[in-house]
This record gives sequence, structure tokens and C-alpha cells, in this order.
Amino acid sequence: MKPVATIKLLGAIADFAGFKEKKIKIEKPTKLREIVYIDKIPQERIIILVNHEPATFDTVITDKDYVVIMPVVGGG
Amino acid sequence: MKGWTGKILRVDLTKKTHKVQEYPKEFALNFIGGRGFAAKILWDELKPGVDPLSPENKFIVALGPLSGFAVPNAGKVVVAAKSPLTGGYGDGNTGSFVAVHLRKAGYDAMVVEGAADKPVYIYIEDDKVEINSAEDLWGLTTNELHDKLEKMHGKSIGVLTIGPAGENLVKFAIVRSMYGRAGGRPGMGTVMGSKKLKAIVVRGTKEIPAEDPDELKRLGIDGFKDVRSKPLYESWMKQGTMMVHSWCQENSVLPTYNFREGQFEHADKLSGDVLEKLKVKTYGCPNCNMQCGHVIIEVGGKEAELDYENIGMLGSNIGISDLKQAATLNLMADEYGLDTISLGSVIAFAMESSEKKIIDDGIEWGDFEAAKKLTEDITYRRGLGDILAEGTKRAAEKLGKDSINWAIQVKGLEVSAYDCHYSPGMALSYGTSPIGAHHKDAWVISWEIQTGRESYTIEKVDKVIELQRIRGGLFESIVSCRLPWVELGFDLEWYVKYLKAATGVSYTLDDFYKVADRIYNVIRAFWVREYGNNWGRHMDMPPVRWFKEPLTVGPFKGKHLDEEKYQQLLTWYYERRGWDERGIPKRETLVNLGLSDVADELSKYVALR
Repeated sequence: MKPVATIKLLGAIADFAGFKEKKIKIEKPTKLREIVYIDKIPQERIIILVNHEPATFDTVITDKDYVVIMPVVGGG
Repeated sequence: MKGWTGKILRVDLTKKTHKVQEYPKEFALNFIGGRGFAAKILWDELKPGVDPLSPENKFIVALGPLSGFAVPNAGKVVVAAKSPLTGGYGDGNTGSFVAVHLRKAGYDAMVVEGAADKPVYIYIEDDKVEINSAEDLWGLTTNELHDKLEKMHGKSIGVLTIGPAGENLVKFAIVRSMYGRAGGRPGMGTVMGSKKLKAIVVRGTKEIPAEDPDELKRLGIDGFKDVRSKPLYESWMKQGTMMVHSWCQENSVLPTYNFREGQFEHADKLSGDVLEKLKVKTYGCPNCNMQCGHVIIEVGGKEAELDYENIGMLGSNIGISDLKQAATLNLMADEYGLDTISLGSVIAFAMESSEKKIIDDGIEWGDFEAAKKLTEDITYRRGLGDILAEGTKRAAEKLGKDSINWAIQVKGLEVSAYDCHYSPGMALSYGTSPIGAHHKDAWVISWEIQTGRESYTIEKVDKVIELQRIRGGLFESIVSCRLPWVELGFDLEWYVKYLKAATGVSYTLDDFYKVADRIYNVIRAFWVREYGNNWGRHMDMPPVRWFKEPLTVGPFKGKHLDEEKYQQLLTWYYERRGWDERGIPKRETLVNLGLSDVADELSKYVALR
């Protein structure tokens, strides 16, 4: 199986970036900011999770990682 | 006084009289309005132990110093009373043109006392106050009633109504406003029903006095522009609160099968994306430019307004996987005047009781027809519905056989739509909410996800208190919607400016938070006075399910709350609040907040430390 990471964007973040979910081929460990075009995504009021743990755009992504970027919601 | 009118309208339904009470400015400075006014009035005027459904209970509609002004998003009212569901302090807020009209009629609040012997509605037109017969309105659904009242009094009115659920004293009947707004989860509509009060109709035509009307107008326009300029605004307008549905599923906090799980296998059929495709229009409160109500056509072909809480509770929590079906149940609740959150919880309670053979009604998870029938039976108090109409806590006491273990409530109020198996901070928020398990005072899940869900830290306690001060204190007392701030990042300093322009009072945010603490302590004192020596830490415990029954699906399978660690959170919470180990305010705490009179009264019922 080819090494891939899943990038999932929720709510407003998907609106900004223009996609909801992508499988991305990972040839070598790479920082998240080099995988996702972060200039399309607000840098504030967002949550980044890699494999369900808090992360940043500098977190290194490797094979089979599960990345979710979502807005900080306030719970109504 | 500017900003505040300085007047409270008192209507006595027993004597069929009314009077206008002028209150001192100190009251406004100490409590601001809304929840602050309501809590202090109920504390001062209700005798402890009074039956919430007796004429001695008081039904309060309270506004704030921004109500009626064109600032974001001040078109809301607080409704409050002693709760028939919990036996403690109860309140709720709802968007309503009453916010505008009651202030233009010249009042900051109204207090309804006594009870009518036959159905009535109150009609207010500035100084004119009438108690009119509602005998031909009794039995109408909320939407039918609203139509009729508009035909009788014209469209330029503010209206608060109850439906058949309030008339039949269902313990979680709400107060309805407009065609899609509701508030007062802990049975505020039930209290109206007990007073035979079918509706309040208000027309106000006066100017609301402001300290600096030009500045307030300018700041209002700038504020609305600022809301619209926020980066998340466009996305918000697509789905409103429903944008959080897939977020909750992703993070395993979506209430599922009576809060057994935090993920639902059919969540994608109920998501904000589905709503967006089905949406026919949006709907919202007065003085709002980020309307949150999204309307779709339900199974029966009618318009139904949805938000996340409805879909969380009437979708996944009862196993329903069709958004239109959830919309139908939501519309029924709106028309009957039932709280959608508690409705979803009592239906789930019945489904689980049926699964466990505690009852033999054969109601299965996801059974839409059974859920519809239960909704009707609850409203009209038939059969099993009559038991469920009492809420999950009392229903469990009636059914017995450990069913209290799946009554998902705190202090008698059903938990709103966030599962807390793996969110101890949010569990603390539910545990310590001043009305029972509701999320409006503090919602900390985003923060927990960023800082460590598993942890039980004093920082988590501080975050809950910080949010309680802002959401439960500032917003509930100035009576403005928290959503511009909480969802889009509208700066809290706007409210400092608005208060100054409206009233001339220069309050810093810290001043607001001191008022918030004062209000919280009055409300806590109210609860403790009601429960006396039966009050204790157990009152602030979240549902036992989250401790004893781990999640069985999703990435957090096996997670559950730790009781010992939760107790530590509670201890820190009490220490930070200046309460003793029973969760009772210390005398010193009350005195420091200018509440010596509250301390003296409370000490008649429990020993203060």
C-alpha cells in the first residue's frame, strides 16, 4: 500500500481551503505547513489534531497520519 | 436613570391588578438586568419551599440596559421563575420582539404574580395594561396562537406564548416567541401554564432613554459591520449552529443513544451539509445580522427551524438518522411548547427503558412513529407520556430498577447536546451550571481539545469559571446574545462601550465579572435555601453513566470520567468560588460581594462557614 496521510477539514476551514478531505501521498516525513496551503486557512481560532492529539502546522506528518483542522467553535 | 428605565411592571393575576415599581439605581448597578434582576427578585420575594406551580411562584420577564437598542445582538429576553422541573432557580433566554416593545413601553422587567382562575393573556400597550380572557385561545399551538394574536393586535407587537405542553403542566414546557424561538428550559412555560397565562403581548411606542443616543447608534452600526467582517461570518451564515454537528461527531461528543456514545454511525445524514442542501430560508431574532435559525421542510411538508441542539437530541440521541424526521419532532416540540433538549432526553430514556425491559411499550431506537406518538402523549399527558412529562429524574424515580442510571440530567435538568465521557471540564460545566445541566453558562470543549482532554487541572476549573462569568454573567445580565463573541470573535470590549453609551456607567470587564459573581452567589444561595441540609456536593455531579459506562465506539473507545478526579475539580471549583466543601457560599464571600443580607437570610437554613 502506498504511504498516505488523511487530511480532513471541518466547517469554515473546508470553505477556506476548498476541500473537505484528501488522501495525500507521504514520501518522507513532512511538516504539515508544507502539505496544506496554509495561506488559505486562518491562523487563529483553529484547532489542529494529528491522530486525535493537539498539533501545529509545524508538526511532522508521516505515513498513515490522520490530520484534522477545524475551527474553534464556541458551543452555541 | 438613562439606559435603564428604572421601572418594573408588576401584574397580579389573582387580584387582576397591576402597578409600576420604581427601583433604585443601586439595584441596576449591582445586578445590571436580565438574570441578575430575576435572581435577586426571586431570592428576595419567594418563600423557600413554595410550590413552583402555586400562585406564590413568580414569573419574570427581564431585560437589560441594551435591550431595544440597535446593537448586536440585544433582541433577547430572560424568562425566570422557581423551576417546577428542578425545584431550584430556573431561567432561560429567547429572542423576542418583547425585548424591544417592553422597553419601549417603559419597563426593564415584568413580574407576574398570583394565578388566574380562567385562561388569560396580558396585553401591554405603554402605560395601559390589560388582563384579557384567553378562553378561546387555550389549547392552541404556539404558532396558531401567534397568528391569532397578530390578527387581534397587529404585527407590531412582541409576543411570548405557551403551547398545550405548558397548559398541561409538562415540567419542561418552554416559553415560545416569534415562529422559531424558545427559551426557559427548566419549565418556565409550565409556570406560565400554572398561572393560566397563555400569552404576554406587548406594544411599546416610547423612546428608550439613552445617555448618549448618537454615540450608541454609531457604535451599533460599527458593531454590526464588525460582526459581518469576521473571517468565519460567511461560513456561519451557511449552517449556523449546525456547523458544529460534524465537529461534535469528529470529536466524539455527539450525544448518541442516550449519551452512551459520542459518535453516531449515521451522523453524515444529519449534518450541517445536509441542512445546507435542504434549507429554504433563515430566521432569527431582532437586532441580529448573523441569524442562526435554518428552516427546512419536514416530513409533513411544513417549515421547521433547526439548530444543533435539536438535531443532537432528536437525531442521534434517539437513533433517528433522517434530518427531516428530526425536523418533524422539532416542529412538534415547538408547536406544543416543549423543550427540544429535554424531549430528546426523555424519549431516549424511554427507548432505553424499553430495551432493558423496564417498560413493555416496545419503543425501539430510531422509531420515528413511536417518537412522534410519545411527543403527543407527553404533551397531553397520556399513559407513559404522563410519566415522561415529569422529566427523566422523576420518571426514573417512578420506574425504579436502576433507571436513574440512564436518566441523563443534573439537578433534574436534562443534559444538552454534548457528551462528556471524555470532556471532564465540560462535565464540570454541566455539574455547576446554575440551572442544571445546560451549556449556556460555560462550554469548554474546544479549549479542552487544545489543552488536553484527559487532564483534570485547576486551569480547567479556571476556564469554566471564566466562561461562566462571561456567558452566564455578562451576557445573561445585559441580555445580549453571546454568539457574535463566542462563534465569530466579536470583542467583549464592545459591551463596555455599549453600556457606557446607553447608561453612562463605565464598567470594565472586571466590573462585569464581579456582577457575575454576585449573581452566581445569589442563585447558589437560592438553591441551597430550597434544599437546606439536603444540599451537598452530590448536587453538582454529572450523570453517573459518564463515570461507569465507557464509550464503546470511535477513537476514544474505553474513555470515561474518573470520579475521584472529578471530585478534585469540584473542590478546586468551590475554593475558587469562595464556597465551602459542600458547595455553599462562605459568609465572607457573600459579604465581599455586598450580599450581607443574603448571608443573614441563608444562615437561617444552613450553617455558613
